[in-house]
Amino acid sequence: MADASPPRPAPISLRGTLLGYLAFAVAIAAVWGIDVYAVPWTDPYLTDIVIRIGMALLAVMGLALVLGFTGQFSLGHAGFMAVGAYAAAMMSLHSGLHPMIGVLVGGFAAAVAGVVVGLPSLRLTGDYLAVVTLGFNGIIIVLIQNAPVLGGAAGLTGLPVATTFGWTFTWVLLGGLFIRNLLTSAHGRVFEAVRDNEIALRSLGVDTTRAKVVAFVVGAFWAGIAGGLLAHYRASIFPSQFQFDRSIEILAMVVLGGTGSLSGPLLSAAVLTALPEVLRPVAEYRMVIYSLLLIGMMILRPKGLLGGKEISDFFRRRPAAKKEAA
Amino acid sequence: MSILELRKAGIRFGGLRAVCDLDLSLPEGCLYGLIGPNGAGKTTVFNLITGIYLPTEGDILFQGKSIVGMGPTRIAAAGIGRTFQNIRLFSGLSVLDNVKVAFHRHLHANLFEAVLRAPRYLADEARADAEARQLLDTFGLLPMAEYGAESLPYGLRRRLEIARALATKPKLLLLDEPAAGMNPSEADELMHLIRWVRETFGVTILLIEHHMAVVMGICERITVLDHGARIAEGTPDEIRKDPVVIEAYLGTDVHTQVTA
Amino acid sequence: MTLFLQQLINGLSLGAIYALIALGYTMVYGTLQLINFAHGEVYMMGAFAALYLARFLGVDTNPTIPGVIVVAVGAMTFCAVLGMTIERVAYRPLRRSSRLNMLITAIGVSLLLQNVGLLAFGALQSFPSLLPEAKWQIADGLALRSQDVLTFSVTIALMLGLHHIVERTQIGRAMRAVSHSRDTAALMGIPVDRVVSFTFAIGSVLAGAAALLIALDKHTIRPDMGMTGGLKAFVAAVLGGIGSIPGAVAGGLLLGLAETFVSGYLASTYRDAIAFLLLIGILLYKPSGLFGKSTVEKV
Repeated sequence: MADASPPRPAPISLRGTLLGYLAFAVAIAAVWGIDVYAVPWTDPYLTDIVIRIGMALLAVMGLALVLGFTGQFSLGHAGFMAVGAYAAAMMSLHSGLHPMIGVLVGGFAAAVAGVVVGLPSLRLTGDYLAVVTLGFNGIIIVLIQNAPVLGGAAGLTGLPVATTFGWTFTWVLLGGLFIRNLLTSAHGRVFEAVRDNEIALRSLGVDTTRAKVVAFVVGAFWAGIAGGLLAHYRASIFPSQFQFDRSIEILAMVVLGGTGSLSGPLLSAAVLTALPEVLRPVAEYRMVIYSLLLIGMMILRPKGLLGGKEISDFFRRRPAAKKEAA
Repeated sequence: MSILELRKAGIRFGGLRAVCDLDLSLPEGCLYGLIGPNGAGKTTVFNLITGIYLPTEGDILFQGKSIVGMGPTRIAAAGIGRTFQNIRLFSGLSVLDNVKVAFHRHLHANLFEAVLRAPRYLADEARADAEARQLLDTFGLLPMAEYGAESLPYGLRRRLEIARALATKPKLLLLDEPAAGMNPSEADELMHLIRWVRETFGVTILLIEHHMAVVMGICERITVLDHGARIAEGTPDEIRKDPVVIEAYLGTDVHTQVTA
Repeated sequence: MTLFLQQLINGLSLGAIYALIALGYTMVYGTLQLINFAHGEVYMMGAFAALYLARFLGVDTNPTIPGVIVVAVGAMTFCAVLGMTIERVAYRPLRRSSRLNMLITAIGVSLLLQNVGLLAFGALQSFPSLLPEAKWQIADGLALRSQDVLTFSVTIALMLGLHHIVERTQIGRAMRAVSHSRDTAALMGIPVDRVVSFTFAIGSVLAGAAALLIALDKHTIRPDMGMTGGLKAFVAAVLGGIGSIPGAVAGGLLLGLAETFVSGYLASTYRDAIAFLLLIGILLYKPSGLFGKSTVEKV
């Protein structure tokens, strides 16, 4: 009934597109303005939280695409972050290029890993994907721990610090724009159709495996970017940062924010990242709280907080009643 | 020339022969009925044709070429559209988007052009939008274009599913019990719709149906299946009189059901 | 040759543990089509239940055979109750919702138990030797430990028992009926909820037994043992063909052998990656597993 998807704005016009680009440029300028004029006078503790929120946003938006919109249950998102982080770190340590080039390379490395993991497993039903991605997360950690060149279990240190507020949110804006535009394009329709009814989609001549792999690879890319930024945040990375519980954390953010929504997961990523900082005693019980929230949410409100809607839908003047058919 | 031809096609599930030795030949442009008692294997035939099941024996030719082993996506792309017995719409998408998805194959722009909103993508999108709206209009669904597909009443969902299948511009359309769950007047309306679709879109139609009135009223030829095998083939008049068919439907008041 | 035989013994011993846990995954998957991620945590909780029960009864300092049996039965009962509670509280309300939601809930339960375990039990604890331990030197470099003998005999006994229940009893028949089709079984008057509950109980009992066996063998138990052990056992179940009981046993043994031989002959550090490489391999070439039937999706 009324909980069907909100009506999409009718075809994207050239004018709307240009306005969108303009808004994006303004946002980028604002980010750098804040970076130059506000950040130096801000409490470093606050800046720290905000930057970590930014990295969480990047990781979460990819999984929101894969899980929330395409309906593919990936449990190894932290594995892609690991690939991105280590690829970016190696670039920065050995190439002498700007660290942000390394971050970009990290994103592509994660995307390649996404193809390798996604191609075999996305042909199968959802359960298998969950297990394979979980396994991939495990294998990545084992491989890193056993690779002296990657620093083994002790990790890599002495990385250049480059993940500033400005760079983090430049990436967040790029990622947000990319995924939002993708979701509101013809491809976004196909992703949601995959989630709703794969067999029907195939009967329309659409290659569903390809669509799933595309979503998966895009998700992996942005996770890789998040990893690359993480590598250049504290000058060091180690494998245990990317273990399974990190994947679960990202999953919790997406599920709690709402599957089939982009802004919902982003909001929950921000809240769940900031919460342990604001409520210190909560930090120790963080994972317990996440898990209770997950179980409770599935039983009480399975579609997540926003239930497949975007934040903007709540401010739209045409109410949901418009969708009720005669 | 026949657009679709099944040659001794069949499938086993373990020991069970769901469909066996089935010969079927659809002349181009015809409206063909496939009937039979429950569990006769009608939907299985559709699944064999559309590549959801792989036939374990025989061959299936579409426009003279074998399509066995091509898989559902490529078979659909080759020009076979279908609807499902239990309607399969994209419930999270709007009515309009359900149809627009079907144009995906004809998209020219790549992923990056779509994300960057490049002119080629905008053109693609505008074309898909216009075509989808036009199709919805011909099906009387345009006023509901922005509604969620789930919010449509049952009869309109069936219509939408047919419109969506036609959006792929198929040469052959398979309709799986389109009148299921409809009352006589809705079924009658559907009958006209199917006939109209054939005329308007120039497609060949293969129809599974339980409503005898619908089948007998619009199909030019009919094949009757029972226990996975063909027991009769002919014009509605021939089928009506065929003693084997009457036998297969035994247990219910056969004559009234078949002639109704 | 002796090295080979030694690895064979070690591999089968490890594989028996995997098989016991895998049975729980495969049986639940058979009835609910759910990967019960929390199963590994039931196994972990079984180990800690045994530890605390042994301490409570004083069996850890003064081990006696009846005492050990009480600890074993107690731990297995605890697991059964835990398994049934999880099903009742977390899974049953979702019986009719999507598989994705059930999977997420299962992960939530798993995470909850693991983190509660971490907070309650600390990072790791040592497990006392409750039984006399012996090591029989058969040849140079080839020894048979009493723990291995215990593992083998208990595993074989439990599997015979399971076989009896599934094949010869009323409830076993009901379990098979439910795994065939839940709706049809319900229409036939089979109390599906009770059968599902019983399935969780049986699987959890086996996990409890596995936990005690591994604790008596390795003498260390950790709150995250359910994570790794559970995952590998799940891989074993997929390897054998998820839903198939003989498949779970075969998959468990195969995985145990593969891990032992790889770490024995190649590099032990890559041992944890074996399970997942095997998993990806089987998914590529025979997704239905060694013993699984390929299923046809209903359209």
